[in-house]
Amino acid sequence: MNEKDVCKEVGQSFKIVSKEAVVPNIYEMVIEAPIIAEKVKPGQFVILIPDEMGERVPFTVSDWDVEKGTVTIFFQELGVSTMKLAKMEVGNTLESLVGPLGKPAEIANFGTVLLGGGCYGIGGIYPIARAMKEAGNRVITVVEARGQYLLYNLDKLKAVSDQLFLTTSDGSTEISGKVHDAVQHLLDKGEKIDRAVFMGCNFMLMMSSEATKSHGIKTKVFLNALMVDGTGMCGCCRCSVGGETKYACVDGPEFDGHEVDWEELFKRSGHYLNDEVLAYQFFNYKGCKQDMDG
Amino acid sequence: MEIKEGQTVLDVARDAGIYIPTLCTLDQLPNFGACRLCLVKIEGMRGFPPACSTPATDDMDVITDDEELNNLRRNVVLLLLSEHPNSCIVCDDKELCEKYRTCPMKAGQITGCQLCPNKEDCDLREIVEHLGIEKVDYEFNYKNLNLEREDPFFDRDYNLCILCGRCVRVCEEIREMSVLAFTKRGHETRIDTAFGKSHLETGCRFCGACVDVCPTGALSARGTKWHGKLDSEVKTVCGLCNINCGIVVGVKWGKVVSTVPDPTSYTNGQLCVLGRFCIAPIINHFDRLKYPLVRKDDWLIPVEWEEAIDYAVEGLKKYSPNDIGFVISSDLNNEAAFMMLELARVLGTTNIAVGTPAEGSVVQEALQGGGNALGVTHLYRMSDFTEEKLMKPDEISKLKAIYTTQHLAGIEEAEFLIIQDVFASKTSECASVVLPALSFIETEGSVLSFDGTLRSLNAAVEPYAKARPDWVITNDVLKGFGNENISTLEDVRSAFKDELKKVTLPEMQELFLDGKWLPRILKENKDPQYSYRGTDLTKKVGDLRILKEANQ
Repeated sequence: MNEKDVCKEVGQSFKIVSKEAVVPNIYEMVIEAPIIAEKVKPGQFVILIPDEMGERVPFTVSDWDVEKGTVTIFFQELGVSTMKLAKMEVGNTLESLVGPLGKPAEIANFGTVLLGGGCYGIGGIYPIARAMKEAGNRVITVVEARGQYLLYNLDKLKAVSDQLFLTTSDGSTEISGKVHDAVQHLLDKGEKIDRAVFMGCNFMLMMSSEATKSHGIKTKVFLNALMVDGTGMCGCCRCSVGGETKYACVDGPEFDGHEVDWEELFKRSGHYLNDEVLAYQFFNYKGCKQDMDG
Repeated sequence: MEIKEGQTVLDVARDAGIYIPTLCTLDQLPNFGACRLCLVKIEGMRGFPPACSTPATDDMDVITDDEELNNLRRNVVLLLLSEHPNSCIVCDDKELCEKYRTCPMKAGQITGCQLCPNKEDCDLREIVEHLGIEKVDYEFNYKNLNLEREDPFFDRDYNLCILCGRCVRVCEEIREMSVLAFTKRGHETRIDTAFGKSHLETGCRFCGACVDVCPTGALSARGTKWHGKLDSEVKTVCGLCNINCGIVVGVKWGKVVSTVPDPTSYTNGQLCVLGRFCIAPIINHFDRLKYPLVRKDDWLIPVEWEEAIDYAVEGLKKYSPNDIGFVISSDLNNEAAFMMLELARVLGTTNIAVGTPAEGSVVQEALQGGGNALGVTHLYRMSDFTEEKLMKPDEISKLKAIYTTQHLAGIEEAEFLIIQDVFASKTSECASVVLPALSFIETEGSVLSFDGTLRSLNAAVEPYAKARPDWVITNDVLKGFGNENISTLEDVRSAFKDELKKVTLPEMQELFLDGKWLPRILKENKDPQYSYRGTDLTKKVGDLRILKEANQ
């Protein structure tokens, strides 16, 4: 009995319930995973394997439904594994899905909380916004994209935010620029921010953290580190925070944005770039077995 | 300035080294006048005539570059950018973003230069920089067309298309396939196939000419597009069929990351599906033979080269010349083939088979007979082996000891089997000794192309794992028999170069009078054999398997 059969046995089929390209290159995928749906908390993630030949990839859980037994992820197509996911259809099953992993986001009544989301984080920040709102915070949400046509999930975010700001690099929305420009814009207007939480690519996390640093705003970021097992065994997701070595999978993924060694994180993230690129050459390759049979 | 008959203003300017921006012109094809970027001022002519379609005449007074023209051009580009994702061009964080994200993000649908595989050689981006555009005032309209990537080998994101028509024209006028066309009209104009069929259904041969001429990232080679800026580019020739088209190998991280046609080669910058899309996945394939292996207690064990060579030599010494046979792959370069023949001569055997000989016209033989079929045949002839003695593969398989340079079904049962090959195969699994060889991309050498011309193979990347050039391996075996005459590649070459230079096929020259000869013979014939050294390439390249299955 393989892993997949074991999962089926306990009612975990990891069937794709829905898949939609919400904006170009970003997909919303709802996956059947009742046990995970019951346990997951805001800020936690899952690791999935798309198919038999696939690798393990971590994704932030962006919503869940205990009754339907489903979890929702938003993913941006950025490599071979996400390309495979983007090509999968409703009804297909994933090879495996494990979770919830990582520590939940720190939720409390801080006062005014600023939440910033970019790319997949526009989807991923939602459960944190919801929990922050429920905890009694005043929630200001800022989302960024290259252009207005790349923003999504806005109705859901609006429902749990006191204010929602849209920023775009091409200036097609109210604020031109990125989340860090919006932070500056709000502070200039005299907004008092007690805590900031950012989710998006590492570049966005770094830029946004820099914007809050000089104002002494406590800032949390959801780091994107290369990850394999997600349970603290392999050490692949090692990062330096406040001069200490941390594992993004079990010590995070939420960390203090002002303490992260960004240069190291970028270096580590780019370490397997050549293999990631070469992997495209074998995308439709069906494995050694058929190969040697000939 | 000198004007040649039939030249346009653009041609004359280019010959004189004067830059006029264009996005739709293509060498080898008549100018098209689609992009309106080459507008110039000509004394005595009204308005702004396009340089690409205005014939040059004597005493013409032309202004190619001034503020008024650049404003006009800027406006043309801004209109293009109003429908071509432009956020990375206008982004304030551009410099920092490029510093931290040094390679493109490997996106599906492209929504900015940082996500675009074409970023490093984008013609549109180059012109944007030339014109100094940093702001786009027009509202951006994303067409949101579906990404087309169900076909093998290349992706099509027509959201990036600027309708320059290069792909349509190269497909129609150079490849004479007419797979692509302009469809619909006005604002709805798109590049598409007839009735929106998939490329597989249209009979597209996936030569990739459309991908090569696309000035944006609209058309891109799926397997070989995300490398970003290349470390180096090496000109060499393809070794998968005996036409030996000129290719430029893109190298990064010490690996082959792309192959594109060499426009200066005798094949005029055209390739087939193998040369354009399959070389990188073949060379980088994880089924390559990595270390010398020797059979010990029924297991193939990795050993040092010296031990493997000794094992091969001692093994061969146990057999009489009549019991030993050689299989010379017609994909071997001249140097390697010569060494095999030399070894056969020293051992005193005439049991030689040349792998996968093809029959038919000269062109069919070139396409189906292996990467150096003509070279191997000529070397065989000049080595005093007569054609009547040439063995068939099934005759060879009856011999007790076989030294093969390719996978060959039926020889697994040999008592003592030496295989010197690039890929692991059934043959290598059954061998007594496995000698890993370098492919045509990793070795210096020469081939005799089907037109009788000697062409050089240049090593584009460092040797793969412990593999060695074929001629070096065979020479080491030869040394084991006390023959130490050859120590350098030049020694090998001088032994046969003059002979091969005598080969001339003047009748072939007629074929090359027309610049479109390669597309024509490819259109009239099947693709070159999907095989290299006896290995079925459809089993190594997934997309090639899909193409083959669609054509069955």
